[in-house]
Amino acid sequence: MSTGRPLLEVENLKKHFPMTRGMMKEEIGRVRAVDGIDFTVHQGETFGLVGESGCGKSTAARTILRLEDPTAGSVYFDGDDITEYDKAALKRYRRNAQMIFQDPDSSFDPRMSVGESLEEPLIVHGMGDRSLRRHLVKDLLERVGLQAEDINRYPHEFSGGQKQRIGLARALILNPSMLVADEPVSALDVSVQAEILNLLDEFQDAFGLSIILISHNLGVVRHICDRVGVMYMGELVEVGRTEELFTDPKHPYTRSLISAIPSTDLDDRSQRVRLSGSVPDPADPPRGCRFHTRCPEVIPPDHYDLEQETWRSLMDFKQRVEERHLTIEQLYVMLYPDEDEEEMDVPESLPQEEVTSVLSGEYGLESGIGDRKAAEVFEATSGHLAAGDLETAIELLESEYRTVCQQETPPVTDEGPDHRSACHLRSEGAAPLSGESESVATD
Amino acid sequence: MSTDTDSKHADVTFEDIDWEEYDGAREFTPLMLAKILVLGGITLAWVLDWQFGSHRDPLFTVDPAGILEIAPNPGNVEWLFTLTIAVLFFYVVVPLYLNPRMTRHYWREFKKNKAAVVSLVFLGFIFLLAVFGPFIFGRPEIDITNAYQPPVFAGGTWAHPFGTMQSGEDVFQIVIIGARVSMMVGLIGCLMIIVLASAVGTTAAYFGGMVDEVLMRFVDIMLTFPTFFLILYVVFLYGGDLFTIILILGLTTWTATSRLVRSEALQRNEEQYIDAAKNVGAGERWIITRHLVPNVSNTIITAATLVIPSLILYEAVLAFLGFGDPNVWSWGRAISVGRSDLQNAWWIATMPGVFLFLTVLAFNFLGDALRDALDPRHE
Repeated sequence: MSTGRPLLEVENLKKHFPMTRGMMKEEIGRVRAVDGIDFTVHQGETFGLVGESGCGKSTAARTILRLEDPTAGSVYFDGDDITEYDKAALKRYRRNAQMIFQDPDSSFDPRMSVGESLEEPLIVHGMGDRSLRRHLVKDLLERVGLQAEDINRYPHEFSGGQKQRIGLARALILNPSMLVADEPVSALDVSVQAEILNLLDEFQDAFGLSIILISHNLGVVRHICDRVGVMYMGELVEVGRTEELFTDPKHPYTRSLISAIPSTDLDDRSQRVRLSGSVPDPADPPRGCRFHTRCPEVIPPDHYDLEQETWRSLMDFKQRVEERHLTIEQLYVMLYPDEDEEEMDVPESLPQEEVTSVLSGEYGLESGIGDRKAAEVFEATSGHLAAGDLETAIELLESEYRTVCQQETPPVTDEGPDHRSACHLRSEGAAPLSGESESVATD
Repeated sequence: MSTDTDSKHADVTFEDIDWEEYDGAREFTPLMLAKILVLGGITLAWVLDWQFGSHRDPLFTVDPAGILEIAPNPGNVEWLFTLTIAVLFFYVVVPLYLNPRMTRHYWREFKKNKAAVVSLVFLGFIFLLAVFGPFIFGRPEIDITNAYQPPVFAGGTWAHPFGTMQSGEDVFQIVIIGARVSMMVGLIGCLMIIVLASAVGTTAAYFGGMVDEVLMRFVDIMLTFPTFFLILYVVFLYGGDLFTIILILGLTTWTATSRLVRSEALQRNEEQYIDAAKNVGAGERWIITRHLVPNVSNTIITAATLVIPSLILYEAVLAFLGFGDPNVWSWGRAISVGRSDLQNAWWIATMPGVFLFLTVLAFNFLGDALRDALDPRHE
């Protein structure tokens, strides 16, 4: 980790994929795969990007390498904005920034021998001397732990680990200064993973490579990264030095990821943070903090005196209603689960008492809500639902169960040197909202 | 192969390379040079012939051994046939020779189908007959005194092993010329289909979006094109010469194959090696020609091989109906001519008919076996 200007600076990078419909390619929405991320990578540093599948980390990597054109934002490599590169400059950039692919089986052309695959970068960049090319390839094959004779063999003749070594060789042969490794070991056996990671480490030391490592495996990330960025739904929720981030995570999402690392310690298992719900649709991300729909630490309003878990359950209930799931038919099925769906005869309204109790059971609220005001709202809502009045129920929940997490985008908070997070819990003005907010109107 | 040049670069490793000095350089291998010389030479000769050869005078004569004339102008279709054979040599025979392991693998798969092996031998024989036959056995000529000679196994003589026609032309020579015509139609048409279908199919799949839309809608329009009526129209206006008929057949039958190629290329396009190639800086043309086309070649070769018999039959039908080239003895024309004499001279229509039948059958067997050998998904 040297000081001075970073090798790579990513500023407010966005990549949206438009969803189109029909002949006229009318845009009906866009998937916000990467939605404004900032980070830097220094010379010789390993930066980890973690997050669950579909959070946009691979898209971020592909955009940084200009395999995709960014929707907005800038990527500075050695001071130049690569998003403005023309064809020739881009080709030069490709020599400096290389990629290791996730799937060793599909990242090699099955019709090319290893030699041809490895010579390809050299030919593309104008090295016409075949004997020199083959010499370089053989030399590099030996340095990644294979044999020079392997140059004439075909990809299917190698094991996954060997192919990933060849993948590393292909990424190195142009002598780049930055490597992007997209899940480089997730397709491999655990025993082979360590070999590949050590090899990567060796080459990093030898050539001062900067590495961006993309992984959902936090163990791997903790092992080899200097700094880590945690992504959730296209945004970076926390960035910091690895040790700091792992020992003192500031964002609830980071905490839940870290607690999900498999552990042999039985005590540790009980503390695992479970996330409710599934990842929201990236085409329609939740407003406010994108994690609020699953966050175990979602902030309750000031005037409620509630257990955190109860508030989480109430928020789950609210989301369910807002998604228009608890219709009278669905409630009827919940009340009378044994009845045949074919012969169902759903009445205009359902008994309110029973609906309230079945909903309490569904959301784990049998032991009481704790706060009198919150409980009244819950009962009133289930009353509206029992009467089949979904709209009033939504309105009531919207005005009563408010959380700053849903109302406002969390600001980025500095957590000390080189450590920042984006969470309302960490920001100064974390005071819960009361009264009207503009984001209600935008919905 | 592995130690030949190591001493020259003994201490060079990849981190010593100064890439600035290589920017934009290109490589020429002897094979590429040979391709350019041969294919360019044939094309050049064709253009020269087309420009200056129309008067059919000998370009020069050499005297010592009698008069040896070199008088070109074999006609467009002969040039195109020569070019096709050269292309087949460079893009089929040479790669098979250079990759003996791949060749052995495909041969092992291919020879499981015994009918196909017999077909291959038969087609090889027909091909040699078509290419060299006319120069060895001569071309059929009218000889009224020799009309209706029966074939040798029905009481005829070895002078005319397959008998003669009503104007005395030798049926054996007609079969050989017909083989040449059929091979021309099949191979030239097949090559045109391969080139057009793979170019359009892979380009559409690789670029997607507007390019895909425009190319595929064009293919849709071409698919509805009435080839038969186009040929009738051209024959009516300009007279049906074989070159024109082959061109029309080739230009109108590639569309179905290009759809197959596109759908296959769409799948290949999602593979990571395409990204890997982009990521090392390869351009669009490089990726399409070096990665997409080779990886969809199974589909292309199989589809194109199975098109050959239908092209040959198409030409035979046209000739039979009298829309073929009147200067060329194709099998279809011979069958048509012999039709009225089936009662007294059955061999006139039967001999070319048997060859047409066997050739089409052999190409079908060959196509099926190639599909099994090259395209494991169909098993």
